[in-house]
Amino acid sequence: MSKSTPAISENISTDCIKSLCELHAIHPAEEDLNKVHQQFQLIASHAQRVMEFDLHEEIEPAGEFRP
Amino acid sequence: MIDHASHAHEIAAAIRCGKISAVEVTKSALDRIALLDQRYNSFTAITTDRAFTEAEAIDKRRAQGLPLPPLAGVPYAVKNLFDITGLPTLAGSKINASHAPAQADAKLIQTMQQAGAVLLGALNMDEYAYGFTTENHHYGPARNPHDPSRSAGGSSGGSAAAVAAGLVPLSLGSDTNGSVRVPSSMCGIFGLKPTYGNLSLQGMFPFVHSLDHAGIFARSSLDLALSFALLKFKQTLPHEQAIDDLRHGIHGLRIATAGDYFEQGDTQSQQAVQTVAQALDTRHKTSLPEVARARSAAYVITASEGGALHQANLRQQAGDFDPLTRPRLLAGSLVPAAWYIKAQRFRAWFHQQVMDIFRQFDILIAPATPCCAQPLGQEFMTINGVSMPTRPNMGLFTQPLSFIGLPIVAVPVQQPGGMPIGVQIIAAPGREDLALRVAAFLEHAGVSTAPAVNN
Repeated sequence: MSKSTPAISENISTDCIKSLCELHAIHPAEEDLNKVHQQFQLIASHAQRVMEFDLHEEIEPAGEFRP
Repeated sequence: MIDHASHAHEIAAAIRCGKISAVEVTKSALDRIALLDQRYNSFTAITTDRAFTEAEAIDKRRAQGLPLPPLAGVPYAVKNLFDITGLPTLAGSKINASHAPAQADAKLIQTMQQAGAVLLGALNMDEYAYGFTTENHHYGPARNPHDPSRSAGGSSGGSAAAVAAGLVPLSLGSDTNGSVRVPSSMCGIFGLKPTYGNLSLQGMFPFVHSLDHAGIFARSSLDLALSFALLKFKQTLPHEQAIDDLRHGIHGLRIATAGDYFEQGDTQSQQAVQTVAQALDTRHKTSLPEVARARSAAYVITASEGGALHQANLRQQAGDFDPLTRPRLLAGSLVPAAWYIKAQRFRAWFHQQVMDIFRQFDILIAPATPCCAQPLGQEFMTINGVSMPTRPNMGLFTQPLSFIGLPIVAVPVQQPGGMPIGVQIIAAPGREDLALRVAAFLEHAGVSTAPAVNN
């Protein structure tokens, strides 16, 4: 099911995180930036696993999920 | 004799027949908290005046010959993300401490009060429920009654520690990715995370709307069943029916062990599942598809919704967040919408796959945590030779299951001289009754026990 091309960049830089924060008007302290970067990379690795999975296009998001 | 090790149903029965008063039970519980909780740090607020007012009302009803509700005089406490009238709803944070006091109780507290239970206070937790260890920098860590140098688990660590230490027989918490089942496992008690949407979240500080559940902790399966019946069905279902259901045993239930992904815990974790499987006399094993991906999708949704919820405060007062929580929320607030939407779509797919498995089996069993409670402050743990960060990976086995809202009872498996660990009893949506029946069977067989401990 997985595709060979990564759906997410494997090289997310600290500068990229800083720019994303600025986009949201968030200004993390310098000492926090590395930790945010680490956490974002962790989320991105999980997202990569999800994004590379082929789902039938008719499957809708489960936003109003009720099991 | 009623003491700190008594179960909720035993306390209610003793008060009903006049062996002890609700005020006596309340005073004894508050004295015990004052004596012992410096060791466990499970409470962040004690509601002494309210507790005595509620207890006196129960004793007055009895003196007047009026019928008593099912949990009359039973002490309990709640994770501090529940609204309690007159207190700010901390949700483990410093930021919320400056919020106005709650004007009303959370819905589930209202129901507990109608059932006669006596609220003793609010309990410690990870900041904004984002953690599995309750290492809270504002209020201190909740400590494990089996070994206070170790974590009580999280994020409902105070809820589990208070029950395990015999400070209260019952507590309420919440579970988004494992926050009832992980601390239940660490503290060696019973925990119920019902079906998503089955208990009201009204008056509870949110974490991840898509995944948040309320849950219950107790030292017996009967107390879990009784409390769940009262919280879910209120007066429409006699609570006696819930108790009777437990006596049906496991005859006719199709039970399987969840294999593959769920076999990556340490020896104790796998041994606990084998012990439970043997007691249930099941040799069936099944495999859920794409479990690792389900966990990843839950991770993305959690990060995204959690980050979005706190984005305004991250802009304005980032320094007031717990240093363990702040980078995670900040990173989560940056998650692209496409990741979030794909994770939600995957959730719909995964739910359907697991529903197909429930056509073959009524109950699945799986470990609750990959290992027992770890020392506080420990950054990494080694499981089967693989080093991994402790804090996020305690939810390895719980996260993929709450992702699709399944009802689960965490049952304790004690280890003489060692730390306890939990096993998840997993049922199809809406079938809490089946998971509770299995938990009761294991308890009566002596496989799952939850003694009050004070180390």
